[in-house]
Amino acid sequence: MSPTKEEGFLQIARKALPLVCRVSPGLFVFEYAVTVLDALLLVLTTVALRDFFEHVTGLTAGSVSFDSTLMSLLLFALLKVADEVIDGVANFIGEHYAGKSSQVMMNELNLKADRLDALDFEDPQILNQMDQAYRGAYNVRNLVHVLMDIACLYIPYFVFMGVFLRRAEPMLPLILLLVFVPVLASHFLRSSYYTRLDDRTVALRRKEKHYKECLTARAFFKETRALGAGAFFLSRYIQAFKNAQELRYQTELGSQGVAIAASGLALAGYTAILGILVSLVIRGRITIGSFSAILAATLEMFAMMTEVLDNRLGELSAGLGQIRKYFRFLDLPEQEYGRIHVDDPKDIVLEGVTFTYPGAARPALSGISLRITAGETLAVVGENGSGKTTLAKLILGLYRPDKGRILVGDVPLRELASSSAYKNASCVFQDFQRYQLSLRDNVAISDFIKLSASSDDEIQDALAAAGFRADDQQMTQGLDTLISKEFGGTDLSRGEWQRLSIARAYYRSHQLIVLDEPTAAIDPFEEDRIYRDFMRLKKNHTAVIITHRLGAVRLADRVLVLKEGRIADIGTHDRLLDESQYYRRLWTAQSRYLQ
Amino acid sequence: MSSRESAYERKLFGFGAVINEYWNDEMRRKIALDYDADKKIFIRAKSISGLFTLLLSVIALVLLMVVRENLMTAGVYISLIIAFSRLIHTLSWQLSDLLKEHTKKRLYLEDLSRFERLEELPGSDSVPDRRILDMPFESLVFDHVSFTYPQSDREVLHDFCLAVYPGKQYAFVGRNGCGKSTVIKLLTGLYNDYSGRILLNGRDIRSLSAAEIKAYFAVVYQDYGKYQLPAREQLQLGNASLADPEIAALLEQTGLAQKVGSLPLGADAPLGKLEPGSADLSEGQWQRLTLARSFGRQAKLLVLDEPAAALDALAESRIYRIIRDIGARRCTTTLYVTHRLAAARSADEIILMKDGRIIEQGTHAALLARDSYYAQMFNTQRKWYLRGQVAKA
Repeated sequence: MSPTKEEGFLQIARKALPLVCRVSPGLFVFEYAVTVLDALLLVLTTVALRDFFEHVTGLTAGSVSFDSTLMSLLLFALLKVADEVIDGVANFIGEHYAGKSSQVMMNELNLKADRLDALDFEDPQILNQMDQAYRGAYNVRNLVHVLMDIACLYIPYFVFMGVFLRRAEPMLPLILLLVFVPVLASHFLRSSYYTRLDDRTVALRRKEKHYKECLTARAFFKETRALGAGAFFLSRYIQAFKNAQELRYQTELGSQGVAIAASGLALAGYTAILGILVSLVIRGRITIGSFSAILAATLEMFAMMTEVLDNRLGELSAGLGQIRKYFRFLDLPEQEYGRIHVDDPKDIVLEGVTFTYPGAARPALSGISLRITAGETLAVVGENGSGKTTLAKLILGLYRPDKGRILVGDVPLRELASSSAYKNASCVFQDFQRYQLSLRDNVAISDFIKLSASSDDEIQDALAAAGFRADDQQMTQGLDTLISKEFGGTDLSRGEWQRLSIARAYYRSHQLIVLDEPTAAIDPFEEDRIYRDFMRLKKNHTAVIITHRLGAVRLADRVLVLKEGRIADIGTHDRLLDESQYYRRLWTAQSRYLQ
Repeated sequence: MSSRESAYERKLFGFGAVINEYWNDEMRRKIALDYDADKKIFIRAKSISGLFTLLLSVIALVLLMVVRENLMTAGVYISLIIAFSRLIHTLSWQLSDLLKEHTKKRLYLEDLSRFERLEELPGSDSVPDRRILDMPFESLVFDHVSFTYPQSDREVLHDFCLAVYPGKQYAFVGRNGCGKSTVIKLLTGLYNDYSGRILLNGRDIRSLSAAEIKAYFAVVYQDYGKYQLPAREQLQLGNASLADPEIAALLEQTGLAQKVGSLPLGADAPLGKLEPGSADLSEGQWQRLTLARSFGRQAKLLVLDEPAAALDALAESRIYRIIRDIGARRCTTTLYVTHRLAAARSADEIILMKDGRIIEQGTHAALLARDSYYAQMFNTQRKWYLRGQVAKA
């Protein structure tokens, strides 16, 4: 996917550790201190058990008193209870820390997504990366947790147990090591299977999601039903699912093959240890009590080894690919800003601007040179696909031109500081959003800073100017009414949503406002009123109006006619009507029905 | 925070930080809930295992006395103790895990069965039954239809009466919320619990199967879905029997031929954003594709809700011309809802609705001749197009 070299396991771990530790350093230290204690208790329990068993053997032989046997039983029981308690505490803190960490990790992603270029969201590759990154967020803590557990629990445990076993027979730890190393290696092998799997299934997952939406999402289901296309999308969905499943199957086949070989090896090691122990007992080198205790300890060590390798590292290797995506997403390049601040209304100047969407064969706009004078109202007209909305996004600073430049006053857009880049610009988007928030937040979302500094009056004013009836009986709790069907609030019609989006744009403090097809879903009386109010309220703001309802261009000082990404003409409505044949065609296509 | 659709508003309005805080608040609340739940679970699991350890100690003690009496060998005793302690480990950990899983799964299953119990609308998943297209269209009559949406107390249609005849164009106009779109929803069987009757050729449409209604009426909704499929499949969704020349003709009629032709794979090029190399369409192009699909369905009645909202002036007049042409050629009857009175004008019959009733009905000329509500509405829109009529500010 990317030409950069894949980051190794250690590099990722080095990035993840401080990130996870910072979530709550105190708790982090406490969690692993408890873990070390847990390891210690585990070992002590094993030693105590062996001691107890030797006492029992001694008791039957008559060489040990009943009381001292009883004492050793008591010691074992106490240690066992303590171990259970400590283990519980460690696990409980672990769960809590996992929840907290995934919040922090996802928070990073949210903020990163917020800093990305708007254009990045048009790029399927980046969208895929983001999808993987969000899935990786949970695993970042998991990675650190596994590594910390290995350092604080498993390594101390295995070292102590190694010493414990060595005292019985020096061969025993060696055999354990011989088993451990290849099994560990097999896990790194398996991890590469899962990384490859995730890369290959991510596109399928997005398909699955879309087909499911075609069947069930509100935007689709009416139409899908009317077309009787349910079966079609269902089969597409199943196909995408099956393809992903097939990939998963292939991966599991390879991965489990490796796992079986590793388990065979572990079994051989276990048999060897059993053989050695039996021979030690026969030769009288150890007692029956020690034999049992060592055998029990070995069993437990194998269980621990399986736990750390199969479950813990196994989980980790499955998630490693996603964690890698997590960090790669955080490292994506961001929009660069300069340092200059602009406050007063300024002319907006486009000089030879050309813009091509990523992956598109032809530029959406080419050679656009234009000066929008501060305070002017400019209408932009043209056929579908002529580049009107793209132009709006360039003027707003949401896109950066490939060639040419855009100046605010005499400052190039790219030299503006990030705080100034979108300041004072507002927009009614054609594809306006429907936020599942309260009515107040749905308006104030365009300018939360303003909300914190002013009363609700301004929200009411914006709603009134947009013709949204906030006192409607539907708005049961006034501005606090939740506008959302999904979360059990009030739902709005498309026309009402559109008015809400106009109110949103009005509310934002602005000197430049772009209206991109603001009245498509609104009736003629309302449309008339909205445009009139707009002109009354706009004062000395600069306005760009994009519309297919050409009547509204009469409000504009000048009309810009776009055709196939180029400026066909620009001038007053009257002049264009007289001189531009193309504009006349557009105009009469609509106006002749209204004569 | 991360959806593609809201990327532009998020960037321009800069609401990321605040909305992210909302998200964090919710997460904190969730974590606090998890914390309490986990605490209970761990305490329970650990008290169980503590209890078992106690039990083990007692058993060990009792058996130890047996061993002292030489009634049991050390070997048997030790293996018993090991077996017990493993059993306890299994019971205390795995049992509580299993119980937790069981509770979770049971909740899922409850949700699932509640979902399964939801009442199904018969025929909602049926494929259009095209055989009914052999039945010629004679008339469609709304006979005193009144309707209130479920869970609402406002009647959106009151005593609505209308007769629709073959080959004509009907335009529904009126202010937002006057019930125009509801007429379409009733017609296409989305809601059945209205009073009065809707008669197709004299038959109550509630007696037709959903599959028949789907074939007889081709509907384009205002909120059309953007299916991320190649143009060919988009059109075949509506009518699987469409062949290449027909597809080419439909794309040509709706002005999409050039756009689709410019793609390397033509009508087979994926549209949207689903896979790398897909071509995305503008809002207007998506709408035209939806229209092309509805034309391709060759239904008897074409029902369009705001079919040209996102279209430019040339495309809009082209679309209405196509609607008329297709109407004339196939004798298709069209019902459409629109806010653009220029579009309504070309209809044979304009139906003006207010508060769920028809208040005016007739041809454009007839309505304009009277001092009607329609004339008022028309003039409001018209004056934008007359020289020297718009007073700035």
